[in-house]
Amino acid sequence: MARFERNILYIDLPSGDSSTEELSPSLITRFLGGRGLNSKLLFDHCPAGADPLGPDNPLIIGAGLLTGTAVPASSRFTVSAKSPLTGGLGDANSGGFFGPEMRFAGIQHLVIRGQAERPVYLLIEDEQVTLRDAGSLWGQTVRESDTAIKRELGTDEVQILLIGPAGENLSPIAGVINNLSRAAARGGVAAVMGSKKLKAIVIRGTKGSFVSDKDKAFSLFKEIRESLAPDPWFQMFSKTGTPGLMENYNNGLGVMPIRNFQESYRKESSSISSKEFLRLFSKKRKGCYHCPIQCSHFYSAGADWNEEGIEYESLGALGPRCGSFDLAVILKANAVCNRLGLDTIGAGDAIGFLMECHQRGLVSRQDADGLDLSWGNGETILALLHKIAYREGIGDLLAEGSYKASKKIGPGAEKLAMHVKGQAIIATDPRGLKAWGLGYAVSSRGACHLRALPVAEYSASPEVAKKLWGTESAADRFAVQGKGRLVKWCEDLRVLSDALGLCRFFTRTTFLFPEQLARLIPCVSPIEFTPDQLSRIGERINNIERLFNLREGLTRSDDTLPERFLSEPIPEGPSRGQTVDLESMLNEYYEARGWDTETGIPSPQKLRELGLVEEMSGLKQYGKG
Amino acid sequence: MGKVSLLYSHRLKEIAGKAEEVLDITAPSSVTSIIERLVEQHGPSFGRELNLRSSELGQDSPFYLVFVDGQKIPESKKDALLIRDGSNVSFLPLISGG
Repeated sequence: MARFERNILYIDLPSGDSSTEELSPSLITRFLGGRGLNSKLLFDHCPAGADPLGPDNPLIIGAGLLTGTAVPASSRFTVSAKSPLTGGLGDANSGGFFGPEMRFAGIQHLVIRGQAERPVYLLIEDEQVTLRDAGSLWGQTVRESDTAIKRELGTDEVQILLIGPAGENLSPIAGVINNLSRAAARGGVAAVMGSKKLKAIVIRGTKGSFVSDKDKAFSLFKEIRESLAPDPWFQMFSKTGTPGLMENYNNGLGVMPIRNFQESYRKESSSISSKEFLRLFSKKRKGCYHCPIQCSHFYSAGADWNEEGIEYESLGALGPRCGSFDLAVILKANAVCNRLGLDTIGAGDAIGFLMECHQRGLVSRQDADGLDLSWGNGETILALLHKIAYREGIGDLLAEGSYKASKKIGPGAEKLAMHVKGQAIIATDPRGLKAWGLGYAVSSRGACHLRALPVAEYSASPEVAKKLWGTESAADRFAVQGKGRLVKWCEDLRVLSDALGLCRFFTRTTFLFPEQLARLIPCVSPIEFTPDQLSRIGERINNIERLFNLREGLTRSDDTLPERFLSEPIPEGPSRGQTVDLESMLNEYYEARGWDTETGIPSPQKLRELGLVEEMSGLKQYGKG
Repeated sequence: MGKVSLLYSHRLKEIAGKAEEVLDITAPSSVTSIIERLVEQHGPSFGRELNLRSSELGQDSPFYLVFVDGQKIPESKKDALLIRDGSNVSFLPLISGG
């Protein structure tokens, strides 16, 4: 049986030296792994004020505590660094098979420091660590590089994490890709990888996975599978994947952003429905490591357009947000992003932003290298993606993301950039889902729906809302009361998935809760946790991320939303007339967290309660911008 | 007399054979009574689909949520809340994410 092995592997790129450190039980019991321990390592290893694209910014890759185990849907890993997009904490999470392979090599976290002089890739084969020349790979697409590395090594039995040209060219809207199409794309972590001239990390592990008590474990996993199988939620998600959300978010709730959030509802949108995707393009289902849901698909949008995906977020960002309802174009755009290593959300946001700038007379066709910037122009969307990745012409501006691009375009453009802390907002309009708006505003990595994923605001019953968040209105999507407590509650639970390496779609079950997770963990780990300990860990991780951002100069004023959401009502559809009243939700959120309502700084008492005593040393200096 | 617009999604749409339809009402009607009429009209499979249950936040929940003019109608209010002329009623599955 494989032994329980948890190491941090440190790599120094300039020298090529590496060292391994066994993870201390105290670090695991305080931060678990994945995003949680990554954030702690980032806090410790990234000096305050470090240049995100400089040698002092570490790139940290963390598998969750349960990643690569026999636990269902345990594929997830997190890539963290100081973000070149937000200037604060940056991380991105992915499924696929790379994270489990790390664990098979005995590694839970990789900390990569410094910058190589020339392009390299990192090869890890269990304990053997080497840096190899990647000069011939630099400039190649994700697919080309993946093929070339496997040819060079003479094997397909490796897992590869790669950047494409967008990451090489230091675009903060670039993504890191594994398994050709699974992206850890947010926060600009691929640009950090590019700044290190690190083209790829290739890993092969042969150590297997630890199980404490096989009979107990498999009995529990059987119970889990049997509870998932008949649930219509899983049946539907298995069939449609996340594109199935389109009907809910557009037709049902009226929160699907169209033309850069100028509208959020279109009566007729069947051309981009999951039904059309399944009918015309999907070839077969695809799952991540050990996943009973298998929500992804292989699709074909033409001879050269065979790809994996598409996710709702990519569909929304590259489609309606840019005014396109042409599914073939959207699927091609998704493939281009995967191949060039771009964040589909950041790229779609940048293009939608440019098109609105053109609509309002701020950018001319000439400014855009002669491209027709009419809404929904498919050729333009595909051309712009290439220009962004290679920083050609107008693409050089857009490669910085909509927020930084808006600063350069000048007056009138800034209010059209739909971001929080510089990171693009996803394909759900918060005016019709208020807790989502609060979640975007307070997310430690800038606009993000997954930090809180407060779906309970439209799915929970009033009785549950009253019991858990003190008011029935927490389950009313248009109300603001109770949303601060709801978002705090969600964030502290959701982060456990990220720290354990479990998929969000699995932890929508009772395995969202510490009581159930405390049953699960001992099956594949010798370390046991009580539900209270897990709850405290969730809160601790969110607080150390807050401290990191405060140390980097972010303040309460950064916890905000674009002006459009605060003052422009949604014009049509089921959320017609809605805007976001952010301030009252923010105050309630800070109070629930034990943070100062004026500054958003955690109280010393709260930090002591969470055992973040060492980390609070600079507290008095924080919040001054 | 009045008219209520109905919106179906996913399997409900397949069973009804349409994504939307308009229902005539003679007086303000409860959600429950509207559903009863729809089951009568579209058959028992429509009713079975609407009665599916799912686990959400560890609680047994209806798989299809009912929204009236964008507002979710809790199970506890399906008998009491009256739907009036001009209302829009949507039946959405619980699926969520991003």
